[in-house]
Formats: sequence, structure tokens, C-alpha cells
Amino acid sequence: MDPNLFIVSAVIAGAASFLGVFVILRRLALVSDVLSHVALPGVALALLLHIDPFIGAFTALALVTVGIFLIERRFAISIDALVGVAFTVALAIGMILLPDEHAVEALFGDIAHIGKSDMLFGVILGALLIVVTFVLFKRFAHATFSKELSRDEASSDKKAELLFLIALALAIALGIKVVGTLLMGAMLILPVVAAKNIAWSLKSMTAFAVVLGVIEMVGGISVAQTYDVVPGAAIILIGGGVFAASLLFRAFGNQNT
Amino acid sequence: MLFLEVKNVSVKVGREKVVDDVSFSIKKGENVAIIGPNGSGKTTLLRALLGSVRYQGEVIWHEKPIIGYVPQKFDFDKTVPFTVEEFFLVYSRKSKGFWFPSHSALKEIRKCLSYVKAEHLIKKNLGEISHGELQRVLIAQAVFERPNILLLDEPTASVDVEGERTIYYLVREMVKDFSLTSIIISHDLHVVHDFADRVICLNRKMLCEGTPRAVLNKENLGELYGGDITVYKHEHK
Repeated sequence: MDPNLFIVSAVIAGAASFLGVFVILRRLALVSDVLSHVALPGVALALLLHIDPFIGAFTALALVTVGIFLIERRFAISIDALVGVAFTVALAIGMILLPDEHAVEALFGDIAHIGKSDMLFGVILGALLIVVTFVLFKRFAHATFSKELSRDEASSDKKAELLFLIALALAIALGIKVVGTLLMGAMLILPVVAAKNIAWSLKSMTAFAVVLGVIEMVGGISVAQTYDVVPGAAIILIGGGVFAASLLFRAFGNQNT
Repeated sequence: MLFLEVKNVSVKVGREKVVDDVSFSIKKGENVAIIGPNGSGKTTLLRALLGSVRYQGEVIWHEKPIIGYVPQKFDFDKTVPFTVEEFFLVYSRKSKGFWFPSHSALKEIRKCLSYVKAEHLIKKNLGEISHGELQRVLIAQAVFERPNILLLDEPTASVDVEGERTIYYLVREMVKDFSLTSIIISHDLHVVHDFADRVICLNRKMLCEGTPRAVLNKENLGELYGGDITVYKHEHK
């Protein structure tokens, strides 16, 4: 595997699975997966306007996530209902705007033809997301676990939540170039649910998630290159396999205790 | 010495006034119990003191409050691995670091847990421990920041009778040891009788106030809860 490709895929996988910890903690697994489709109309518009698809995807995702955040608070509508609405509307817009050949690329990514500048961009943004998540981890966790214990920090919890959603939008948009938006949803979830099965604390769960995310991504791309299959599919199948193994580990572990 | 003054505080939820023109004051070191039926605005009043709901009127602290708060319930995803130690680190306001906590922070956590006889739980997951143990952990966490006032919102709502007695006993010891000021919401009038220096009866409006002995009588309780309620006093040595 090209070392540059190795680095960029590892960094993006690390960022996605790191943020994915909070996706799972907030029980947003399906929400984040569905959300990844919201990028489509953004990509479509960007292609029509001849600007970078990443910018289009991020703009669409940020608008939708922040919009959902505000509407949820204002009207007390559940987040999965809102995401359902946003997702179908976004998909409809995407279908009208997006030419077919580009749709496939946006959905599944095109890691074989990723350029040098895109790689650099991916590594920098991915690393930035990792650093931000590391530094804000405590605040993200604070806003996640219990509303009862958030007292005068309530406003700082809101800020943390907003920052988290923007980071999430960035992470999903980042996946567009490398693995496609569809897979990015999976990268946020698969390593984390497997990690949750084998971890004994929040810290160990996070560490396992990041390590598994990187292994699944790099492993999937290697397998795809060796056997000439679609990288996204290979990565997801490895992720599914790791999850199954983690279930076995848990079943076996519970028998011993 | 006055610690807290509450002047004409009202809280509206939607158009409804759930706390209506409540005034009282608390001296330093006093243990005050708030009693009242369900939906009488007890928790809302506490949240007004915490500053987490909007209110009209004035809440005046005569000393900068460092509040230790024990909520009625702590809902969380029990399947997530989240240890007692991590819980302390995440919910401490002073930044003690999450990834690499200092030795002194860890020692402090153990010390707080030891007040409620829960040291052995430090590496356990919150999802694995019993309701009573969780409640004790919440109380220990409330004193982690070295508060000068403790707010307890029915800390034993989800605990069996035996656990309830233990918890009140531990809280009372702690309040004494640290000479804390405390406000406790409770349903259990016996506990209130034993625990509090002063009682405030709330049913949206303040209905009575005074020492437990003076306040917990048939008329007041009848007015507060409706019907025929008395507290059977049993004297302690």
C-alpha cells in the first residue's frame, strides 16, 4: 500500500472512530448513518457550481445538524424524526441535482484516485479533529451522560453539543474523498460498538475504538487492493467481522465471571 | 450568619406558576428540609437555587456558594462502560484532567467515596452497581468539589428502606463533619423530623415554616397534603 494512502486512511479512521464514541454514547448510531446521506445535495450543488465537493458536503451537513439541534430544542421534536425528514428531503434534492457517475463516487468514494492535495487536506483535518476531540473529551462526555447533573454548566453543555455536531459534520464530509459518505457512517459506528463489547471503562472503550477503526480501514483498503474489490465494502465487512468477534469475546468473558 | 436569602421567587413553566412567591432565608450551617406533595414545585425551587431555571424574584447568596448537588435520579445508558472514577473526573468542575488524572485527584476521589463507604466501587462501572450504591456515589461526587452547601433532591427515591436509612445517616455525618449548610427535599416526614433544623412546607406557595417540632402538626400537614396525616414522634436518646 502507498504509504501516503496508509497515513491518510489511518488518520481519517482514527478521527471518525474517536468522534464515533459519542455517536454511540448518545445513541445516535442510525442517526449518524442516515446523516451521512445528507451530504449528497451538498456534493451535487458543489459539482454543479464547480467548487470542491468537500465544501458542499460540509455545508449541507453543518446546516442540517445545527438546524436539527435548534429545531429539537425549540419544538421538542425527537431527533430521529427530524433526521428522517432531513434525510429524505436531502436524498430527493440529491437525486434531482446529481449526475449519475458522480453519485457513485460521492457515495462510495474513490480512494484509488485520490490526489496529493486531497491527501494532505485529509491528514490535516483528520488530525485536527483528533486533537479537538481529545481536548474536549471531558466536555463532550459531560454533555452526554445525564441532564440531571448539568446545572450551571447547562450553557457550556449546549456549546459542547454544538461543537460536537460541527465536528461530526466535518468528519462525515471528510470521508467523501476517501471512502464515500455511505461508508463514513459505518466508520463512526462499527469500531465503537465492537470496542464497547470488550471495554471495561470509557477510556478503554475509546482506545479500542480508535485502534479498531484504524485496523479496519487500513485492512479493508489492503484487502480491496489485493483482491480488486470495492474498498468501502471490504472495510465494512471487516468491521462487521470484528463486531461479531467482539460479541463472541463478550459471551465468552461473561461465562468466566 | 445568613447564608442564603430567597425573596419572592416565582418560577413559571409555560403559563403555569409552579413556584409562587416563595421567600425564606437560611443561616450558615443550617439543615433545611423542603416538604410537599408531588408536583408542588420542590425540585423546581431547587433548580432555581442552582440557577438552571429562570425565575422572578431574588436569590441572594451571602457567601459564594459552592454547590454540591445530588439529583433525584441519574439516568444514563447502563450498557456503556463508565467507571465511578471516570464519573468523578467528567463531572468535576475544577479541571482535574480526564485522560491523565493526578495522584492527588485520585486520592481525593477515594477519600470522598470512603465517606459513604463506597471505596470499593471506584473501578466498577456505574451500570453494574445497585441503586443504593449509585446514590452513595452521587453523594460522594457532590462533596468532591468541597462544597459549602449541599442540595439533595429526594436522594433516596429509588432506594429501599434499609438503604434509605444508611444514606441519611451518612449524609448527616458528612454535614456535621464538614459543617455544611444543606437543603434536602424529602417525602419521608420521619427523616425530616430527625434530620432537619428547619422545615419549609411548599405547595407552589409556601404554606408553613419552622422547626420540625413546631411545623409537623396535623393542621399543617392536612393543609399541605390533604387528608389526615400525622407524624408519630419517637424520641431519640
